[in-house]
Amino acid sequence: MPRSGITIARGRALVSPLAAFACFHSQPGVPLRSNPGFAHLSQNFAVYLCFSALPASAFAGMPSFIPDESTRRLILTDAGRVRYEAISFFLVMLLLSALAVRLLWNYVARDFPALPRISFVRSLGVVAAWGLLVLIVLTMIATAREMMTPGSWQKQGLLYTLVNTPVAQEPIKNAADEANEARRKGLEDLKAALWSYAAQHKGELPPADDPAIPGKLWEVGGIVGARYRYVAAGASLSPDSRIVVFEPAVHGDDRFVLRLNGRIELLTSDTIRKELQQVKP
Amino acid sequence: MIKEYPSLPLPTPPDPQGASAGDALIKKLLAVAAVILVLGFLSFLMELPPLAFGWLHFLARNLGQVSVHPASVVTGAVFVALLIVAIHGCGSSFCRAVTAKSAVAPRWRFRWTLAILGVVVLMFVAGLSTIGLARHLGWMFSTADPTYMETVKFKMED
Repeated sequence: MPRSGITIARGRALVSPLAAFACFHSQPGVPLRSNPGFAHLSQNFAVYLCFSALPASAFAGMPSFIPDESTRRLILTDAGRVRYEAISFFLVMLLLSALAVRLLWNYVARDFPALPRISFVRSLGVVAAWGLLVLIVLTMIATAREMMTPGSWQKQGLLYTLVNTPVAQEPIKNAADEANEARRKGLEDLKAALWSYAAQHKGELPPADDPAIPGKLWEVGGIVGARYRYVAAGASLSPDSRIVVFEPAVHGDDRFVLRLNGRIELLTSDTIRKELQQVKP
Repeated sequence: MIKEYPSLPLPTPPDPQGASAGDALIKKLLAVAAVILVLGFLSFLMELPPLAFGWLHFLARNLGQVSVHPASVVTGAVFVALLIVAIHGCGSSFCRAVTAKSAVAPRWRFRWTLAILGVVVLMFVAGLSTIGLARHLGWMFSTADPTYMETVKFKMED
């Protein structure tokens, strides 16, 4: 690799005071500072001090980075780490359960000489067997549910998962878009709070700025100061498709709206404006 | 004439129990060393799953999200008390029935009641833990998100 000018200069600066010192001849009777080589020596020494602070090696030219194959390895993703931490927690719970069962069993066995003492391994075996039994029972329940409601499960990877609920199948533009899902989730949380309030107040939605609805729910996620527009304060829940809440125009022209019948839809600003004008007397 | 030599002390035979215990200990140590070696070798190739202490992170992340519902706590306490009364009542009546037929009269002890209650609770904990384990393992196999990703460090070209 080519060495930079700095590196070369540093090397020379470290050597030059030695050379100047070797050439320096002190003349008897003449003050040291008046000697002819003193100025040369002091200059070289000053340069030496400056360059000695520089790094011992420097690389010249444009650096080029290449992958170091010896460092190639697999690391956990964030999702994987969280998953393994959860598995670790449940494993620890299982081990603690086994330990506690063993202690309890041996504690009671003191009163019953016929009962054998159990070791930790046996206790763990009992606990694991019990856990598997619970798992089998739950699987049987899930199977029975599938028999009663065919098609409720769909294959995903090696396992089966529940198919989407009807709410999730509502027509949404760009349903795969995660940002849209997050916006929709915020509106669903607000809807849950509003509907919960209505359930406790004879079906009537809360008035505007009612403290029963946490202020955090009115904030549009991720945008400071943006709040949902609430246009049906005090209205009663009904199958009517009147707009209750809609997003401010912070995500473009398409905005999510919450209707009185509970549906959440994506509408353009123009459509929202027209619908709101129809509602006004 | 036969000269008699003092008999030499015979070497004491090795204690078979002690030897087997020593062998077992050595085998255990070798097994632990082998596991450490394998894990050490694997750690060069991949980041090992945080199974030993990951539960601490799990608790730190989730305990803050736990909220206590007083009504549920009171309800739970009442039902646990009822369960204690029921177990103790059943146990005591069982002992009385045995006493009527046998001269030996065992008396139902309250600690047996607590032990049965503890085992019932622990079985629930164990069942939930197994379900949690199974669910997370299932998600790992079914999710599209990768658990591991490959990384490599870069170095300056020589």
